[in-house]
Parts: sequence; structure tokens; C-alpha cells
Amino acid sequence: VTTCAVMLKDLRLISRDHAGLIALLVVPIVVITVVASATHSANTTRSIVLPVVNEDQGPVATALISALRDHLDGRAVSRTTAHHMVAELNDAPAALLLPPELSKHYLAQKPSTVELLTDPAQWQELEAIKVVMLLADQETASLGDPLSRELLEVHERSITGDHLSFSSLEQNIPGFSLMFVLLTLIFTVALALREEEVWHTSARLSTSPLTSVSILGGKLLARLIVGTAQLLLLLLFGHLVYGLRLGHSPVALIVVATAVVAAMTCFAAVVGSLVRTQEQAIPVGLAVSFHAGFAGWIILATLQPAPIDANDRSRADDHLVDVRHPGRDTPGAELHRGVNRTARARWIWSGLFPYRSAAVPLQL
Amino acid sequence: LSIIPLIWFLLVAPAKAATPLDYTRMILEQARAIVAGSQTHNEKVAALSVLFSKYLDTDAMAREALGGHWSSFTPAQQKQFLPLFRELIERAYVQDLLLFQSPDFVYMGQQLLEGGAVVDTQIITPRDKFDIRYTLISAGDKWMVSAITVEGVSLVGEYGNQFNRVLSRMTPDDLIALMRRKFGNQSGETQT
Repeated sequence: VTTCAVMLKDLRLISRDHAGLIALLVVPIVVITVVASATHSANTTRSIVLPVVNEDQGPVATALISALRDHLDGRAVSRTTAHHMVAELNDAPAALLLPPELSKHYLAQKPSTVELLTDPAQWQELEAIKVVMLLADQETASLGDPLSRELLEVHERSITGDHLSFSSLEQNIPGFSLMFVLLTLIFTVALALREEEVWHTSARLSTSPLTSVSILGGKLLARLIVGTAQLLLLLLFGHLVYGLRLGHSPVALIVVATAVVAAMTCFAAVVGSLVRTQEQAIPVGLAVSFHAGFAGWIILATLQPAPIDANDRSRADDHLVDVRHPGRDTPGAELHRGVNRTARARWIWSGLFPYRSAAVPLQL
Repeated sequence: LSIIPLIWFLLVAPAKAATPLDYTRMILEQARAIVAGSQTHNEKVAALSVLFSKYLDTDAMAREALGGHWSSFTPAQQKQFLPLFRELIERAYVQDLLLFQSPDFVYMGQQLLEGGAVVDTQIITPRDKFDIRYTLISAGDKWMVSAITVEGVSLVGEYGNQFNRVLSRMTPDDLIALMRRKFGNQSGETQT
């Protein structure tokens, strides 16, 4: 009976926290919705656009484009349009340039070089394209050329930056660093504001000569300093342990980090004002973070970095392609297996979507 | 019943081909019909392989491709190498031909040489043309191709260069094993 009485009392207390009760459902629903939408859309390569500049117009180029269209959304375009689609419109992660005389060289067993103009920022789609090309090349080499002499060689060139690719670490380390700083700020600011009320220290502070702006400003400045230090140390850890590139100017890095954390701190203050109890701080903070992350993902999906440098020219190890066997059954099946492997990797990666996206809106 | 004329054509018509040019034209027109036909890709490959097995003297090509290495192969190695090279040439040539959706052959002429002939042809596409020269040797009442030159480059010569590179660092057995692996055929039996 005593236990039941205590239970009923606690249930009455819980029932009075309407916001907390709503958060019990809202937070999981938000997470489920975001994860489901993120994972659902990342399971095919056919939506990946690959502009192809066909300056050969011969049978090899035709067969190559046909083979690529089995797995990608290959589009025959001009050189200017291809550059525009990759570097400015962000419609495609890469464009393939098939040079004149490609067919003649290929049929005469002479190697040719095709160029892959890339946007490394769209690295997931780019990797899928490379998988398609690599598997096709392996199949070609094994059947048409027993000595694995590569008749089609790919030169990869980034047209949106000075690096051909970004490792997952280079994306994950800053992403997770920002995520933890953001969550830490939201929780600590929200909890700090509520704890002042619980401890009745806010009432005491209000009797002091300090203005509310000074009080709130002091609290936020303290979090700003801690958050900036936290972010810089995490980035330093990534640099020292994993070789994360941090640029050439420590001052610029500190300024950017401070600005980012300042935005986070203000955002945390807004979130803190929405929280009515200490118990609401974590679920409301998570929910707001996920929503902001989702919004940030949408922004990044439509506003990618502008072209920076088109001078870098490097060789890649990936080669082409299914030109000898455009319609064969076995290579097609193998290609599908390869694409499926990529899809599985993307599926796993997408499982981290809400955590990555929570930090995205604050990545400058 | 509709296949009977084709069989008759394949078996009997070659005997009627008098000149290297006529014989080449007959083989290539049959190939064009197969390529432009409605069969699946694999069926076309099989049909073309059968057709060209009667037209390509892959044993002569193999000996020419190996050049001086041929004599360093033991009889057993030579016996293993020949069918592998036949498979290589047939696959490469057939697959290249299938790159053309509907090849349009033009027969430029023939040059009769001592014990053989040279036939010049072109594959015409809407935007380009591809020169292909066949070197033929007489084989009874028919002709066999001993060399193919595409755009001035000898396919046998190109394979010969590759064999030279491989054999400079590998043994003949290694080369044979490599070719078997590439064809996915561990037993050494060739697919025809």
C-alpha cells in the first residue's frame, strides 16, 4: 500500500510536467523520422548523375556510356555544361571526359586517357562512381586483356578544391567535435539556468546590482570560453592522432572556432529559455539539435562549396570500364554486387545521420 | 528448317570462295549479320567465336606473337599455350567487333603475295572509319588470317610486346598460369 501511494504521488508529479510528457514521444518520433528518411534515400546509385563529354563519338565511347547508364544516370553533355554541372550547380559529383580518337586507340590496343572531373565534397556519390568503374575495368582486364594492360586510364582532377578526396576521418572528426560541443553547451546552459532557480540563487542574484544582461552574459561567456577550448582541443587531438588538416593559420582557426562556438552558445541560450525543468533539458536539447541538424543537412545539400581551384591534376588508381562487354550478363551481375556493397556502406553511414547532422548547421 | 540454308552456307560456301577478298567478304558479312541480329550478347559472342574459329589461324598468330620465345617453350607448354592464345584472340576480336552496333564493312581491295594475300577493309561508322587489314595465308580451298592490323597497329605485334614484357620476368609456365587465371579457367581447358 505504501509503495502504491508513493507510486501514485510520483505519477501525479510526472503528470504535471506536460512538456516532459510530450517530449517522451516527440523526441523518439523525431529521431525515428530523421533516421528513416536518411536511410531510405541512400540505397541506389541510379540517381547519381554522371555527365559524359563524348568527344570520341565512336563505338567504344558509345558502349562505355551505355554500360555506365546501366548503373548511373549518365548524360551526354558538352564540356562547358559538364563543368557547370559539377562545379557550379552541384548536380553531379563528377564528369567523365572521353577524348577524341578514343575508339581508334582502344581498338588498336593503344592506351588512352580519360579525365574524371570531380567534386570531392560529394564523396559518397563519387565513391559509388569509382566502384562502378573499377569493377568494370577489372572485368574488362580479366577477359579482354589477359595481361591486364589498361587501355583506358583515368586521370582524376578536382575542380572544386585542391584535394582529390576527403577521408571519412576528416569529416567525422570535426563533425563529432562540433556535435559534442553543441550538446554540451545546450545541456550546460539549460541546466545552469534551471539550477539557478532550483537552488534559489537566481532570486538572490536578482537582488544584486547586476543587470540580467550581465548575469546572462557572464554565464554565456564562461560557456563560450570552455566550448571554444573544448573544440580546439578536440581538433588538435584529431590533427595529432589522425592527421586532420587544420589549414595554415592558427589565428584563423581560433577565430573561426570562436565564432562557431559563439553561435552555438547563443543557440544554447535560446534552447535553455524553452526548457522549463531540469528534466526537459536533455530531451528538448536533443530534439532541437536533431531538427537543426536536419535543417542544416538540407541547406548543405543545396548549397555546396563554390569552386576554389581548378589547377590540381593528379592520377588516380581507378580505371575504366565495361566497353568490351556492355551487355554481358556476368559482369553486370558483378557490377551490381559491387554497387550493392557501396549501398551497404552508405546504409551504415546513413545510420549516423542524426548525429552527424546535429553538428552540420554550425559547420562554417 | 530455316537454319539449313545457313549451315549449308557455312559449310559449302567457303569452298566456293575463290579469292582472299571474296572469302573475307563472306566471313565478315556473316559476322555483320550476327552482330546486327536480335540474339543476346552471349549468343552473339558464341556465334562469332564459331565463325572466326574457321577464319583465324590463331596457331600461326601465337607463334608470331611469342617470336623467339616460342622455341624456349617445351612441346607441352606450346600445347597448353595455343588454345589459351586462341581464346584470347577470339575473345578480343569478337568483343571489339561487338562494340559496333551494326558494323558496315567496306572492302578496299586485295594484294596477292607469295603464299598469301593482304585484304584491306574498313568499318564505317556515321562519324568515323576504322582501317583493318587482314593478312591471309592459303589453307587448301580456303584462306586463314595470320595477322590483323587495326589502324596500322598489329594486334599480334601488340600481344607480342606484352608477352615479351611478361616473359622477361616470368617463366613460360607462369605466363600460362596467368592466362588461365585471367580466363577463370584453372584446368587449362579452353572455352569454345
